[in-house]
Amino acid sequence: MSPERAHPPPATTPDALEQQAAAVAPLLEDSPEDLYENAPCGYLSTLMNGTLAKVNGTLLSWLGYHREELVGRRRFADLLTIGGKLYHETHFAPLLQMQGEVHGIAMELKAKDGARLPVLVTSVVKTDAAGEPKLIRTTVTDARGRRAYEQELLRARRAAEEAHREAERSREHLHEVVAVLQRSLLPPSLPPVPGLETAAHYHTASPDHLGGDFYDLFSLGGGRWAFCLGDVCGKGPEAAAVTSLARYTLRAAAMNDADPEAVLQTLNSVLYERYAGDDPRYCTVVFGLLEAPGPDDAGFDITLAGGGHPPALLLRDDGTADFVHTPGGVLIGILPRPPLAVIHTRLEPGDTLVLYTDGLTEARTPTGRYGDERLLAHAADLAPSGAEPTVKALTDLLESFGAGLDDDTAILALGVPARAHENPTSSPC
Amino acid sequence: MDIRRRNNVSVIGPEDGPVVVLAHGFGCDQNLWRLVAPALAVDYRVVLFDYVGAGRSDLTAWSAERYSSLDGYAEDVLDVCRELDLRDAVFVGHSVSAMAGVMAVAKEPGRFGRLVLLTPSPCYIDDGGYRGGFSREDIDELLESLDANYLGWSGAMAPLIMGNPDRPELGEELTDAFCRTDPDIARVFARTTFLSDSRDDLAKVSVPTLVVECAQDVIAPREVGAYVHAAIPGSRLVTLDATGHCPQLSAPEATVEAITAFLRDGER
Amino acid sequence: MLKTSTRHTPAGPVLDVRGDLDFHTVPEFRKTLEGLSLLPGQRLVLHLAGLQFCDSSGITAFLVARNLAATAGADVALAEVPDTTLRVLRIVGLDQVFAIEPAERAGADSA
Repeated sequence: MSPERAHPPPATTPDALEQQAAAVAPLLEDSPEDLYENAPCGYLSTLMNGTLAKVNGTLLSWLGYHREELVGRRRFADLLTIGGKLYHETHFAPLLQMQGEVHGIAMELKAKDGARLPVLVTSVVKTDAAGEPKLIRTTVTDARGRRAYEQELLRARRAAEEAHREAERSREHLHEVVAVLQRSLLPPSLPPVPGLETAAHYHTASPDHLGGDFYDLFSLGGGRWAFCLGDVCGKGPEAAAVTSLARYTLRAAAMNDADPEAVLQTLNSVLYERYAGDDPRYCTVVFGLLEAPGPDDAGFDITLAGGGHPPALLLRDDGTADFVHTPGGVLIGILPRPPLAVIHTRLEPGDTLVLYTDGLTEARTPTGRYGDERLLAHAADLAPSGAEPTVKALTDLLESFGAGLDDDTAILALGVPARAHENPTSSPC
Repeated sequence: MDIRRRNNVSVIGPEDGPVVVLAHGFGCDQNLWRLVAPALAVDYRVVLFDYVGAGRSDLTAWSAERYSSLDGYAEDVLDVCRELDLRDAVFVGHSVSAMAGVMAVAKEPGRFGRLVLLTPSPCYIDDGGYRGGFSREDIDELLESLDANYLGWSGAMAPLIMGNPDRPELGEELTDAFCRTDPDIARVFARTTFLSDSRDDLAKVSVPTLVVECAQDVIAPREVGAYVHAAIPGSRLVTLDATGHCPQLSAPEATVEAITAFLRDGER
Repeated sequence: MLKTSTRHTPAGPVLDVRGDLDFHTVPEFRKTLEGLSLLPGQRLVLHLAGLQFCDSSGITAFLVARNLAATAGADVALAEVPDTTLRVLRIVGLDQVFAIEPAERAGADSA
């Protein structure tokens, strides 16, 4: 490359700039008047009452009017569509009067032949030296392209809003369906058991999903009652189908042979045969029998069979609490004939037995999973406590977990009313 | 409910002055009164408020159901009057607010001693021999105009005139929410305003009434002013030499003069 | 998050499981299980020392592994089960269903 310069240096000195400007000016043949008349946008000026005082050639050509048809004869609002006039009077003019200028308002002008021209309008009030408003200067920009684009956006927005509403409706419908099905998986209310207080609570993790937990309490006749509480693996409709199957199988089996182990073996056979293969469906269950007390006995004999379920809680009249384990019981539905644990216990007056699913103990807290130990300590704090207040306290506990509780949770409490205690504070020393 | 907060109520002027309630119409908020309120507040206790959905009102209190009829706006007026325990007040209603005031007077007459209807229209749509000035299609077109502007709403309406040296009273604080309305709320208000028909209510007005119209007003043309004047027994009509629908902005002195003259007559 | 890796030993594959076995990761874990080749008489070892979290979905996954192994005429064992998971396995009685191995074989036998 030759070091010689091929082009003149860029003009940077004031003299050079002036020379360049002088050189291009004649080419443009421009003047303020010509720029006003033939600018690439419309210009107009009006008196404060809106009467048109000046209109440039560009705007006249857009609208198809002669100057003398407009100036002194028409007002700016006359050039607008009726909707635009209303908008002008209710928004544009008040804003302009209050703040002296208004920018980029979308309007439509009516051409002489009736055609409509989408424009963007900007107006500024010109004041005299004393600050008195004298006239309004307005620029009008062709907005056909922009308007088409905006209408496309509006259409898209409306479509999106409609789709959103549709989705909301579907969601509400789903919630209704889920709620109805969920109720069908639980007894509408617990039947009264003479000499026993009962209470239950069901926490649904999400209105979108059917929970897989269940509980039940029903009479077997002859002063015997059956109760159960369980947790089917998984969530959603498949789990709910298993839940329904489990609950009604337990009822039917108990009517046939109320022995808790036999009842759970029947349920196991049903699930094992139905859900073999690579889609195992199983549940953990506690099933129990309540034997009504004799005439001189207020307590209840309980036989409990557990299939892989967390231990029950016993809140005693003396203020202590313990787990009632059913050790050795295996999940229902995975083995042809699982070992099941059967235990016998008694509810004395003032005692309350609490069955629950692991949503309670698996809830996340700032210090880790809530866990068995804390649950037991909480139960000991509550004891002695009847069925109703115990379920209320545990419901409050579930609520306190907030977002830490992300699983369904079922709670069933059975309590024998306490004997009338002597008032301990008034007991003599 | 805190009505003062809900309706952004402000009260200015001498505590012992006769009370004048200023109610804004469709399109803006109580800022519309800024050129007349100070003049009125010399002698009168002036109450300003925003209808729910407008200006700095509590938007969470808005419901399409309540504000889809003029009755909802009349209830706002009465809520404010009850909150301030007003009796015998002067109600000045602009545009659609004039009709909300007429309804409020009918509901609780004891609260109002006089009515000033500023550019009122009991019905915007032509109906048989009645000339309201608009057709149903025109109103639909307005709704389209609202839609067309709400995309660019924030950009076009929000910056306004920060620090305009000629109008120092228009501070930044005032301008940021001013005249901006949620598009859904604006649509409901527009529909309620322009599709309402309160002609039958006019004959029931039982208090001294002043009708103020502008010589040139495309929204409430002079036929409408004459109609309102004729329909309200014993009313007075003043025609301002002003253009547009908002004489409190375009001719504030004349507007104040018309109102105070009417009120002075009442005091005599 | 779940990470798995497989080592093959003459006695059968050892699947190293690290991270969480929950509702979100189990589908992926199932695919891994289905991709394993198991011969009759072999033992599939699920090496769980790195298991951080295991809920009922994870329990289901163990049962899937058990069923797959049974279909192939093979056996399944859990090795180095973390205490929390072992507690859950005991509650649901699966400590009686699965062979639970100590660390030695899974950890040392990497041939």
